[in-house]
Amino acid sequence: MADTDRLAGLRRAQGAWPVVASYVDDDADHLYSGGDDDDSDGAVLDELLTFAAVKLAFNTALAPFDTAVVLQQVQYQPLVHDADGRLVVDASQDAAATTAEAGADGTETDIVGAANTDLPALQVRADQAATVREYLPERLEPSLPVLLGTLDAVRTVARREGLLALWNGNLLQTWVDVSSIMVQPSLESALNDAFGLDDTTPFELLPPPRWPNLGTILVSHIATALVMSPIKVLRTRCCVGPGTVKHARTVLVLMLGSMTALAGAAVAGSLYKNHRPRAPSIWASAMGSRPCTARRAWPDGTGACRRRCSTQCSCRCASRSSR
Amino acid sequence: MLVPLCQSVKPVILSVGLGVDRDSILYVLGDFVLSSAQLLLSFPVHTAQHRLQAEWTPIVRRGRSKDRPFDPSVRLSPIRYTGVIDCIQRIVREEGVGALYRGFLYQWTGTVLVSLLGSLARLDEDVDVEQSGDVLRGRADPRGERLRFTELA
Repeated sequence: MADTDRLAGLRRAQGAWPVVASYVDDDADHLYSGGDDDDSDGAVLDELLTFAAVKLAFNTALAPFDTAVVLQQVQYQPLVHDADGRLVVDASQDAAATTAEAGADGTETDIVGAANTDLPALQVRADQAATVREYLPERLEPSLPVLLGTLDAVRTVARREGLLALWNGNLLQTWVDVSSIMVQPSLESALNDAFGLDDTTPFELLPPPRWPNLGTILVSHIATALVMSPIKVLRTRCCVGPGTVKHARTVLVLMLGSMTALAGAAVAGSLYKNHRPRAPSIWASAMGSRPCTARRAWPDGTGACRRRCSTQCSCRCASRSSR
Repeated sequence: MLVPLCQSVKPVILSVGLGVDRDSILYVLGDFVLSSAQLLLSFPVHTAQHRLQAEWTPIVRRGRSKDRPFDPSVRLSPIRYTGVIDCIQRIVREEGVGALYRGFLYQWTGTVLVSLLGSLARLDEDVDVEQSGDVLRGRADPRGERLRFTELA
């Protein structure tokens, strides 16, 4: 957004927030120079790396419980099956109570086995019963455990698949978190710029009407979720069925590589404005200054560049060659 | 979409709508209640999201399916869900409402802790002018002092 627009938004806020007004001079335009100073890149990179490190530490500490929650959420635990293994959809309260009692004593309850009781007036939906009966032998193996709670899920996974299985998808989750913190504010800022909205005041401090800013917040979150969705699917698959994601390691290496490129680009050029990373600029710069981010054109010990650098590159080699 | 919407609207409801002072205990309680309500609303959607993400459908090309092994750690639904609404409806019908909230206690504990810690930290801590947005840059303050958040609201 243009600096004048920022200031106009601020001045609009002055009426609603007198205290704000008292801290802003009339000639405060220098505050909105865009933040393209030399310090911003390093500050943002430090901030980003710190966030990534803290997020990785937290995710690593909580990963066993997160994995347990995901497994509980995806596990299919129908209330009752009848003796033939058919799914009973409209189970009565008695049936539900029977299942609950069977699971309450702490043993690993087999849901199919729990249905071997005399249940009154059970009904099976005809359209689903055939399909379920077809899949039952393959998909509802009685060998698979029934997770009765978060701690039980942690114990069960550790016992059946090993302790490390609790950390499946941890790096993917961290990648999603770090990427989201880069993409979403950038997108929100870009949308605010495009529609001339105030991009500097916290949402709750904005003067009414706030719905345009709320709209940009929601749209940026939705777009970010769309972009991150494939990685989230991978992460869930890693948690649920580790063997199904054969190429998870390759994907992880690619993601870490692109993250390294982004960090290199952040150092190489002036990519940020107002301390907010802008994803399009980052990607464009990362692609444009690829030789630099690949460390092939950095000066060697003698001070000479190892390789001819792009003229549009903003790295040290380019500045040397331009001299 | 639900989570960012709630997170954005929450301070507006408390500060502007209800007129609660950000430094008061009432704000902490309100934040806790709204955070819990947000989790109650969003958790079933997350459950449905994870179920849909965990579904495996082999790609069928020229009458043959790419027969990749699928070895889930837990039982998955034998019938494919067609969408979020269908997923939630079938979970309620086949597994009960409680199935939508499996693992809720863990998430709720985390939410409560984060909410309480954040609010308690805000009670004593001065809010740096820099953190309140570029509008309130420290350089705009001629005294160069930190501004308490109570002066803003």
